[in-house]
Amino acid sequence: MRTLLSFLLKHYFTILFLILEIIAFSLLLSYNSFHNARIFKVRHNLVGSFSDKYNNFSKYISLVEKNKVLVEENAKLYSQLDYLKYDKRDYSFNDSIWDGYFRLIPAEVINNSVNKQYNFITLNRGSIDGIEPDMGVVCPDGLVGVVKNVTEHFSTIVPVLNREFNPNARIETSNFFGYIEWPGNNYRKVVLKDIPLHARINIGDTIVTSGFTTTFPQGIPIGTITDYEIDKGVNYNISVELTTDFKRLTHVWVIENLLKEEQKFIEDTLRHD
Amino acid sequence: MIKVLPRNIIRFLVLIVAQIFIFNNIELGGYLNPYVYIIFILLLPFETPGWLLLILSFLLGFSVDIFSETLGMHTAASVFMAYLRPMALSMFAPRDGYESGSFPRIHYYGLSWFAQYALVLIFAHHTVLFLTELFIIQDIFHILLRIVFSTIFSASLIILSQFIVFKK
Repeated sequence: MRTLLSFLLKHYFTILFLILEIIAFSLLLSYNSFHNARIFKVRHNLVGSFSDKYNNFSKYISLVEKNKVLVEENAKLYSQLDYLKYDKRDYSFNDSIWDGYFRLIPAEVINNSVNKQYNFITLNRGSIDGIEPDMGVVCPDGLVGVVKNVTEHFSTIVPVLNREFNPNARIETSNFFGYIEWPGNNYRKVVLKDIPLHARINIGDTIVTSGFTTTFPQGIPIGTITDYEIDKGVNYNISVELTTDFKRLTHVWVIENLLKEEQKFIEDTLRHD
Repeated sequence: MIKVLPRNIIRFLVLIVAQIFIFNNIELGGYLNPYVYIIFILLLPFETPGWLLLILSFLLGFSVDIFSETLGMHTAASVFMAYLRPMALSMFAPRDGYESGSFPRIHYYGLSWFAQYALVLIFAHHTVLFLTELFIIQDIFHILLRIVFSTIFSASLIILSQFIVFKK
């Protein structure tokens, strides 16, 4: 007993070090593998309001930039309006959004990062505004991510720039589909994987969402092809430049799929048979 | 001597705020972040007992973690860095030891001493930080590059701060 005690006393520095490291690593593991809603809530109670104020300040600073984006978007919408007046056959992006299957909830980005391996975005809307986990998030330029955690007034988004998030995507012209992966080094570039070798690939082609899940409508732009290579002789690895600029992301829309339950129901009955 | 406690408490708080609202937003080349908050561990007095050193580093890392949504990462890295600090101090100790009443700063022991001491510990911190961030080692060269460049980036800011903010 005495030797044990003297051993503990002698090496207490190392033992304390090991205990603290074990705590740190268990925090790390539990946070990455489960939705740890409680810690999320504590954090928001602690910094939510402060963060909001800080964001108000930085929002004011970047008003010029935001005005420019709004003007650009206005111009784009006007041109679409003209286009719609004359041609009603082909506008898949708007079509699927507005025909009653999907509802858009506008939200503002109040916290964002692009420089980590697992980036997150925080929005100023939560369950009060109708946001639920697993809803899709888009911006005027294209795909953003998917909702992960929701509290009353805030929600966190797992963006495309997170190695955990692999949305389905297809090449718009040829309809071949695969999935998106972020290599983690450049916030403008992702990789489209799983495209078979017989697909024809043109630099500059648009990559859009496939619409296979209930999260996103089909046809939301993700990026354009900049380069491609053959991966292990079976598939293409296609480099895609994102249309969404995550560094100046301010206004986004959360997509609520109004027919999600119905689609899930009919797919589940298929599974049970 | 009595001033040591409040000064360190203020430094602790200021560094966390600065890290979250300023340095977390600085990036070079897309993904290089300076982590300046660890200057707190570097500047703790020589006489700090081991348990206090570890606990303070744990709290420091944990606070930064909570605010940057990276639970565990900065905690693990900071505690590891604190564990190595006594070894680093004895490794670079001047021939007749550290004078009582002095602090681990350029002001007392010169630029080259501080640079060596800081670089070793910052490198240790960043190594643990980036390895835990990825967790699975996928591209060792890429991570190594990040560790080295971020270490240089943080170290230059920390050393620079010695001339500007923590002058006395």
